[in-house]
Amino acid sequence: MILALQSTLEAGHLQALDRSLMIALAPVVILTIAVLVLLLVDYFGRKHPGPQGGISLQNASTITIASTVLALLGTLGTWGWLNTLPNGPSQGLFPSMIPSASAARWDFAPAFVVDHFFLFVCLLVCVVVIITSLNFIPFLQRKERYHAELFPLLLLSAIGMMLITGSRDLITTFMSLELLSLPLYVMCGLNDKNRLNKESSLKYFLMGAFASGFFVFGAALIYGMAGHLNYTVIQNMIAETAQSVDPVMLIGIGLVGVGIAFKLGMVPFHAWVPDVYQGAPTPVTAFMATGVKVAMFAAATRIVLECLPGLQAELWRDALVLFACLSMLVGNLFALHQMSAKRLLAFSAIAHTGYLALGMVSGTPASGSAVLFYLAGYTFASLGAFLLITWMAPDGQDDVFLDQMHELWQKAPKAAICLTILLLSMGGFPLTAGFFGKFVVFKEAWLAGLSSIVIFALLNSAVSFYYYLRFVIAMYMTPAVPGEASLNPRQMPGGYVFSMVMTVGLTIILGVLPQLLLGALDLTNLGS
Amino acid sequence: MIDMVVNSVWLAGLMFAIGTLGVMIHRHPVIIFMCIELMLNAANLALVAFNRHHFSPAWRTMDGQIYAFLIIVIAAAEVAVGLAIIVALFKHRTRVDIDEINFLKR
Amino acid sequence: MFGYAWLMIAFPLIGAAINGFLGKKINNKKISGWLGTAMLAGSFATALAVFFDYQSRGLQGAERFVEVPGWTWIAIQGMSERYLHIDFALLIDPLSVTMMLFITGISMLIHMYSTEYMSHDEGLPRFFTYLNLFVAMMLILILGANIPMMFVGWEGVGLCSYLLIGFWYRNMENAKCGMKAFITNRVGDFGILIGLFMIFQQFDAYFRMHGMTEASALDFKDILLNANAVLSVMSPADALFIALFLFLGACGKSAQFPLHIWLPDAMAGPTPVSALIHAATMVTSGVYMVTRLNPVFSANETSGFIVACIGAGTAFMAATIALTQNDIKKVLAYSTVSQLGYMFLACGVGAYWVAIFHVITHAFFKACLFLGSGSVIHGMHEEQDTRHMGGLAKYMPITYWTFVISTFAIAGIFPLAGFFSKDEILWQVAIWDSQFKGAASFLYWLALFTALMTAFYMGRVTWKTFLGKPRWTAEFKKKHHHPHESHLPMTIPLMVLATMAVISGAILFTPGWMTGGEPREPLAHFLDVSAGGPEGLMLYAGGTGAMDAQIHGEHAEPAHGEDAGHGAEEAQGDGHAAHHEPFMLLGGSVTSTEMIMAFGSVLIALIMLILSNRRYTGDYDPKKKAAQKAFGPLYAFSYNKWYIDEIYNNILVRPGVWLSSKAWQIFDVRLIDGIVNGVAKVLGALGELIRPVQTGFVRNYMLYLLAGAVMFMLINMWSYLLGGAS
Repeated sequence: MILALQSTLEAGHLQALDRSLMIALAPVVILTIAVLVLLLVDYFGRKHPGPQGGISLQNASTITIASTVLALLGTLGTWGWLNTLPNGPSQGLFPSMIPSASAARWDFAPAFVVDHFFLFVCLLVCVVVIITSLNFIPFLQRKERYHAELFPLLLLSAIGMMLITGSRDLITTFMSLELLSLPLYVMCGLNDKNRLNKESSLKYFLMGAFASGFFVFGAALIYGMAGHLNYTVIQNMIAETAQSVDPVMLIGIGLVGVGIAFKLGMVPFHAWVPDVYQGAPTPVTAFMATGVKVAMFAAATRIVLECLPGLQAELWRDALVLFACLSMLVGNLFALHQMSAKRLLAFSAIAHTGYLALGMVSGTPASGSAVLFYLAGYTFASLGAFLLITWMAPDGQDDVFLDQMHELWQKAPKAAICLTILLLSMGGFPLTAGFFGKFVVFKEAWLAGLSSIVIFALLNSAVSFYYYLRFVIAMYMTPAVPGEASLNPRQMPGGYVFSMVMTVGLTIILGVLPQLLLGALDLTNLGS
Repeated sequence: MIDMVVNSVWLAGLMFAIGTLGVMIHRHPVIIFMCIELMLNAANLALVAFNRHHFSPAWRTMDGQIYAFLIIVIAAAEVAVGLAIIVALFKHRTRVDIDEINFLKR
Repeated sequence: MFGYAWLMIAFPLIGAAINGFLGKKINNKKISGWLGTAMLAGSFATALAVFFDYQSRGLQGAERFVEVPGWTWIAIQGMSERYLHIDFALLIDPLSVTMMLFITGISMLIHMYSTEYMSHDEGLPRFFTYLNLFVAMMLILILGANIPMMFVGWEGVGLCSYLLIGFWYRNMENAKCGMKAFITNRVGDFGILIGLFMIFQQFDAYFRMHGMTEASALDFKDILLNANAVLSVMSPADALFIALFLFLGACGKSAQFPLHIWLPDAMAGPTPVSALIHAATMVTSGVYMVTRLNPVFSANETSGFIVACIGAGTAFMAATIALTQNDIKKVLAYSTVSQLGYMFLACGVGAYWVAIFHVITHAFFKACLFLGSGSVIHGMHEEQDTRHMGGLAKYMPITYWTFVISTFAIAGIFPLAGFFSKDEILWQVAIWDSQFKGAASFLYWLALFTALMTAFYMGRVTWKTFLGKPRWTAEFKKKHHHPHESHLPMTIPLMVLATMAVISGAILFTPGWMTGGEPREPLAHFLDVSAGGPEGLMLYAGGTGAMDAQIHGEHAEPAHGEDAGHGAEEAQGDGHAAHHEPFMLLGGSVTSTEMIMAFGSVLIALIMLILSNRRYTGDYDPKKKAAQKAFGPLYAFSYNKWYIDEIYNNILVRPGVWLSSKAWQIFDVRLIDGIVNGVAKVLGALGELIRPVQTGFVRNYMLYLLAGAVMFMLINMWSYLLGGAS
């Protein structure tokens, strides 16, 4: 038996076990160490148990930001390093033994893969973490709450986001999914005195746990049919039984799909999105709206491209296209009348899920990079918009309402311009990142033969301008009613300024020179 | 032996259905949460049963069972987080009924 | 190879950025102004470096088109088998090198001039921001390696022109002038866009058909290298339409009839702007564009003839208008329109290098004239009406003498620059060999008559301004006593430009009758591949430059060998072959004809200058209105600019306004708004209708989730279920 194992190893799988490849996991490792440091310092820094003492907010955020910057640099380093490796830029890690197609022998397949797709998501997540952390301190100080434990939670969630992107095994995917979600449940209920925080936390948690129940049961059924949860195995299994896939397998795929679609916020699994986005503390919402979306779409795209391509009937695709259309429609319709900016962005996030899902299900070779480009554009716009809301919100309120936006142009012209650009980018206005994101994603969908759906999506994005511009008009043209609760634009702290420059700048740069990113993203195309 | 696997999977399916139904009809978050645990355990049962089916005597494959353990770990972590959230909610209310928690809507 | 050429664009951009973002913070007009000037000096130095580098490399044939890569701008894969790829790249070729040299040089001088001229203006940092931005855009226009880049520059200079015409925007009239320029240019842009799209379509189809996957139908280099092949298979109608649409664009930018109306009004901007943008550089970009795409214009003799007619006609019309204008800048503006007409006349007869030659000489003397007029306006404290000037020569000697030199140059007095370029244009018209040879003689006489008028109106404005009795307004006399000469930063550019107006012609070209043999034509040699017409392009194949290709025809593409030789001669300018005889022979030989024609035009110009001198000095008094009385309706016709503004107003603007207001009421308010509002209402109602679905109850949400899951699985198993049923 052992001899057989060794002969298999010598047959060319040794590379997969090369320890030095662990360097490729640099971003994850660095963040893990940072989490440990934060927790240990917090624990040993306390003189006696209780809320007092422990690590200070400043220190915690400094460690978080420093380590994330380090992780960012590590990711960049790995980006170049991967190309120099002898056996291609896609490195498998953590191999598990899988039944091979012929069933006579056993193969090894990685449970985790480091490739440019994974690294790009790491980059985005690092940027999100840095910008969110920069904005937590002023936010927490304003709320006069002391929550240094927020930072390890943030990092843990970020680690989950990274891991789920590289995962090539449903159980790894599930573990990463939970690692990503659990800290978020807590972060939503950050302020246990705030009714909205608590409500959003509970809703998110119950729904999330419910959805992961579906995911796990689906995974169990897939295991039953395929004998393993590795994507390679599942793909082989589907390919073998292409014409008559077992119904249990189809149910399994459907249930796993439910678990993922829930996290993506696709209609009809979306109902939690507006409530949770609105109820959570705004920086957490910013993190959630961007990081989770990036990671989950990346994971879903990998599943579509590396797990399901052999599925002949492609009915899962029809189902997802239906849900995508519903997402656009429902997201946009609900957004039309929203007065709360956070809720508006939540519904628009649902609509964006619909557009993104089109690119994801198209399954063309370049769809991975198209989805990533869209995600990058969406991330910057959404992050910036949520941060502006954080900054503008009046005292004692963690949200901004439409009638409070009036005359923002006169009060804080820079903020108004920034918000305008970000909203236009979300709508897909030319010369912003959002435009090219929509362009590449719709292009892939069109090439995949979803032309009528693309037209539907275009109509929807036209509708979306209605509610984005509603806010823009309020900022510039509507006079403020005296006596109305209005915003009190504060001095922008340095962290906010940096974040705004980053998000707005990148939104415009990617809109004017999309090739800068599109060129780099050519590396991220997933092979099936 | 195949029959046993099949029966176990049917049982798992039943448990999953019961769990789902329980989530639908109950109003107390802790009970809802228990129902969700039931769903997870249904998956565990299915995994273990399927492992029996896929068991290779030569390689002693235990994938399903290991999956089950991993899911138990995750479930435990979920319990920790979930109970904390529910307790936080309890702090300022005497009664916790999810049908009373709908400040965020429309 | 020429990577540092990017600096040329970077310098003014940096200047614009600093002045634009920090101008208010710096709050020092000296620093702002000289910073802008220094940036242009850097740009000019770079241009010189590029020029000498380019010369020293001794490139031949197709090598003379050097693409300087920048970065990928847009690359779209997958929409077709050949994917769209547009680089931000520069094209260094003889034409762009020529253009960039004089553009950066003159811009530098005018920036320097502006530091003094605008020194009393609050908006000086803004002024230099726009001015620097303009130069950057102009350089992108002429250096862009592909059509989209040229278009970016094309629109960019239009924008800067608009901003600068309306620079003193607080005056509504100025803002209106800016808008007039912008809107008139839009008409031209419509033309150039269609033309460019057609080029792309035709060339892309050709490249696709021949499997030339590397060639891009947007890239000038690829377009030019394959132009003859593509044009030979293109239908003549297509070639004609492309040329005419492009020419419509050129008409807009270069103020040719019928789109010339904006340029005189553009004089509302500060005078340095008039000098830089509306005389020396931007308005010549139409000529540049025609030259850049010259194979398209040469492909069809009809298009060339139309271009020549419009050019000559505009030259004539503008000259007649300039005869009677009283505003010093208006005269110069119409004179610019007229001179641009000459350039298009040259383009029309296929003498592209001569057009560029005139662009250069004109840039020098016209910039000098405008800056001189600025100096006068400055000295007269914002007086622009020549009727209230007179006798300034005594007080402003430098301005006077530079102005006079430039006037002589534009009038075509030997041996100043204008003489060489204008006479060469006339000569090229005279020897134009085409099916329209008969009409060409008419164009020649028209152009000659225009030259006569040019000398007269330029003499008129010069003498009226600087000589004669002072006719200053009482108010001016009371306030300022007498005008003053401008300071050095303003007079140095005048002197430099005047010097160039003297020597630039003779340096760049000497006709054959003067050298006594072959003409000396360094500019034509330099421009051979870029401005030699379609035949010039064939020199690529030869790879040894114009002269050699002319002698050794075998270097050229075999199928067109004969044409290549023929073309090279034309690229030489005044070939002496039999088919390049002028429409009439004076004194029996081609050379003597050329000489006689040149002397004739100089003589006419001199007579006109003297006549105007007699008329407008001494006891000339505009109050007598002698000319009005003598010429009556003719004077009124000219003074009112041929009533073109009025005609447009009545034929186009008023019905347009009426139509659009009706269209607004019917289509916009009722139909479009109705539909849009209707859709919005329906959607809004729908949104309101479904909002209660978001109940806020977790249990409802979970039900949705479960319903979705069931739906998902049902769809997933659809075929299985159907299969099971059947």
